[in-house]
Amino acid sequence: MKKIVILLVLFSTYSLVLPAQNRVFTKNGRALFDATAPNSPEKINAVNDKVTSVLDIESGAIQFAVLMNAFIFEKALMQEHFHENYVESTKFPKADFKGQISDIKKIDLSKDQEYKVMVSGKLTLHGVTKTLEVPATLTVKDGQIIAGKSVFKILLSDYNINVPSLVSDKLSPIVSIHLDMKYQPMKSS
Amino acid sequence: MLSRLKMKKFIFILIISGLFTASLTAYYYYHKPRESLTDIKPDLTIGSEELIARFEENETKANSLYLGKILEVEGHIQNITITENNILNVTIKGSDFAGIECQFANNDSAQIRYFKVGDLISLKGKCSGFLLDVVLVDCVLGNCKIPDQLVKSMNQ
Repeated sequence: MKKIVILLVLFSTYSLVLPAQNRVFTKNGRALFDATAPNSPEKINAVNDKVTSVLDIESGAIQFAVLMNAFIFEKALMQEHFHENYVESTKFPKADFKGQISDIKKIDLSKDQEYKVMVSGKLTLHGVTKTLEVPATLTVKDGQIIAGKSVFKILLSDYNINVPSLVSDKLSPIVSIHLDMKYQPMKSS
Repeated sequence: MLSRLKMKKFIFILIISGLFTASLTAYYYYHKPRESLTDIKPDLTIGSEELIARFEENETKANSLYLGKILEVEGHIQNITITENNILNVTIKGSDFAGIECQFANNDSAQIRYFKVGDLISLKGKCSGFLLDVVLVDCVLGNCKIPDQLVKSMNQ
């Protein structure tokens, strides 16, 4: 009888505490891309503040989802070209990344600091899925992962996005992507 | 002879000024900033519950109807947040599982201070699709009633 009670208590605390602790998420992450060619007279960049991301601290599994239409440019015409001619937002409204933090074990939640990690996984953009391995920084504070950042580059041609020669002096075929997530603990459902 | 010369001069000036106007117009359109939705008529006015229901039923079909369109959505405010990057987000209640996430345009967030959670609001924004919620960007205040408490304070 005693054993059962102990087990029950253990089980209930386990199920109450663990789900709230081991996952963090955000709906308002920022993704920024810069496709400005080295000698371009004007900047080609856009920002998306509606990136959704979930990170499982136990397993290191990490996911991102991005709505292409939520990328915002300063110039109206540039935004129109981006959606209609390059990423074809109507046909491919979402981009996502599903991956794994390979060295998640080195994160010690009891130590507040920034940890450099490697993330590998699959990025789907413009209907094309490619394997990717990128560095990232995770910030631990008060026993929780509160932020994640990464900067990496992708080749547009890998994702079947063609750059017409007419704009090749402005638009770089290599695009740098900046991710900036502020995570919150996920409430157990 | 003189009039012919004058004519030539006139045509020359005409061509130059034409070219000048054309290049100015081209420059203007090329650099035109993304415009505010304040004075733009929405493609569609819809209740928040109906919009969410459409996306929960059939996302592909809903995308074909609403993606990239300017929607005016009416519903009750579930949440108001400002991100670290100083971006105002208003969530309108949809169903038990999903809402409408409305990201405001940078310069159009002032009026939201008259509203609080639970108030009926109408927001106009560009529909970007559905993740956990339906997302609208570049939002501005739609055609909606100012909340009662504001009317009261104005009458005082």
